[in-house]
Amino acid sequence: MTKSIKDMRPVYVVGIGLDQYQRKTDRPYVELGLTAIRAALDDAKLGWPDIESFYLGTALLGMAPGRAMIKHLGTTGIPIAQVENASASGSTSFRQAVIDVACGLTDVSMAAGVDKPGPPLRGAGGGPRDLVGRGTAPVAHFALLANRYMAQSGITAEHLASVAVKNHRNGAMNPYAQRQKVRTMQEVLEPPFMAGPLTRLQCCPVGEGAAAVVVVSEDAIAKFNIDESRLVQVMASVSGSEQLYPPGTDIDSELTRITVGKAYEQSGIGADQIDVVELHDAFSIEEILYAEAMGLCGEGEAAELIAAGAFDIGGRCALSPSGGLLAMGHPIGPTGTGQVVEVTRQLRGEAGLRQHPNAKTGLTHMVGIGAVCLVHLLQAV
Amino acid sequence: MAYDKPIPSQGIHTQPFWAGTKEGKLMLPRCEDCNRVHWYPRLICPHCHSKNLEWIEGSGEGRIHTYAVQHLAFGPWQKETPYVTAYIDLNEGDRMLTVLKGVDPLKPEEIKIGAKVKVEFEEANEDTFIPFWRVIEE
Ligand SMILES: [Zn+2]
Repeated sequence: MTKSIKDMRPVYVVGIGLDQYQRKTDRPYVELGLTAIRAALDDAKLGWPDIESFYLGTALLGMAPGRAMIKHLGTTGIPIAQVENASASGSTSFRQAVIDVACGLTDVSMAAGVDKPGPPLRGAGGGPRDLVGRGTAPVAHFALLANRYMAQSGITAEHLASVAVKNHRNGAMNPYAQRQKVRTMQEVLEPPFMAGPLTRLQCCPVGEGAAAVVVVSEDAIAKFNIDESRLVQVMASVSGSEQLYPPGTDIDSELTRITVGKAYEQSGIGADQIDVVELHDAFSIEEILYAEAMGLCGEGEAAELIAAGAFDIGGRCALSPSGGLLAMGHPIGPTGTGQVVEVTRQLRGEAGLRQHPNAKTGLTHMVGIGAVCLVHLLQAV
Repeated sequence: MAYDKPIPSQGIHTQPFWAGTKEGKLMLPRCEDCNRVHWYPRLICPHCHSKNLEWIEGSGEGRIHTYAVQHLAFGPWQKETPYVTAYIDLNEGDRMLTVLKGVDPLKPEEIKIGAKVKVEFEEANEDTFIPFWRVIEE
């Protein structure tokens, strides 16, 4: 008989930290990562020697970059590992830290993510799988999905663009966001087009950044006298990958539907209870597809609801209150950990201008090439 | 004009496909155990994990599942922009990512999802003919 996180020791997020997401600078990754880690330790009122295991989500920094970073904090002999899972690297590092505490392997663990953009990966021509050449960007696939969705649902270019208008508005209130500028509908719809109907502002920026999170057990809360008024509990942690679906299935939506469905089932939390969501909106169409796959609204309804403000901060559920990947940015390794930072801030009521009223339950969601999907449910205690 | 874009690699399990393209045939892998066609070629059937795979000559026809004009590309593909890519639902089953020719990338609204398409081949070098698709009926 297997177990889920809910059946094991309760796990709480007690420390969060970020280094601002931004265009690549000359600062070394060590400095970015340490900024986020120290912020998370300060937030938890813990020191580095209290951390019993450490997982670093990173995809672009090469072999074992974690040790070179944390040696500046002290060499304490704890288990460390890098976690590479494409765009979901930082979500997977979080899950590993949660598992350690849930199993009782540790009382205090840290997950982090850090990356800096490297040279673009452009291999030689692929096999028959890749008849459009290695010349296309990731946006190519999502442009294909966007056109299919638009033809089937009858939504307009403005509906699609409203995702980016909302997320830029949210990002403009986030001091850690790469894009902190309110954008009008007209600005979002302006060329250049990247692919299909997707304009530049409907595609996420990939820059540098770092994020860190401390998770603890109830024993640690007692031992370190951690402030119980700010506790956020991890209610579900689900990791999934692509499987064979019936012919004609939309793979991207189905993987999210299945993974989020497991998180709902394990936690007993339903879609109607979710107050805030940080999801993988690398391209505007994705927020529409995933909101529907998560059951936050009916099939074919998401675009019109987003355009009408239902998923604004203060709406029925806040989608991408941080600005999401579209405005906060997508530095790859940190992104998934950063989603936990934002949802925790929201559930503590500490999100300032971006605060969604009465946020009690939140969901984080990343997908990655591979194809993988990571979902966590968090709840204010 | 000589083909100057990256040329797809060939392997043992894709050789019958490339041999077919030289004769203008769209060869497709089919599983002898579950009788299903899959795209792209694999060593093992993705549906039932059987290794008993055979090659059949496909009809070379299908329908547009979806399409998109690509404005952003890299390397030698850059000068081709804007060009149109599509997922084609093959008549034999499964779906192929491909380039769609004979359509106007500046008038994407004229491209219809569900339109019938037929495969053609472009010579990249003497061993490699690359399939692309053309609309034959809306
Ligand atoms: Zn089979």
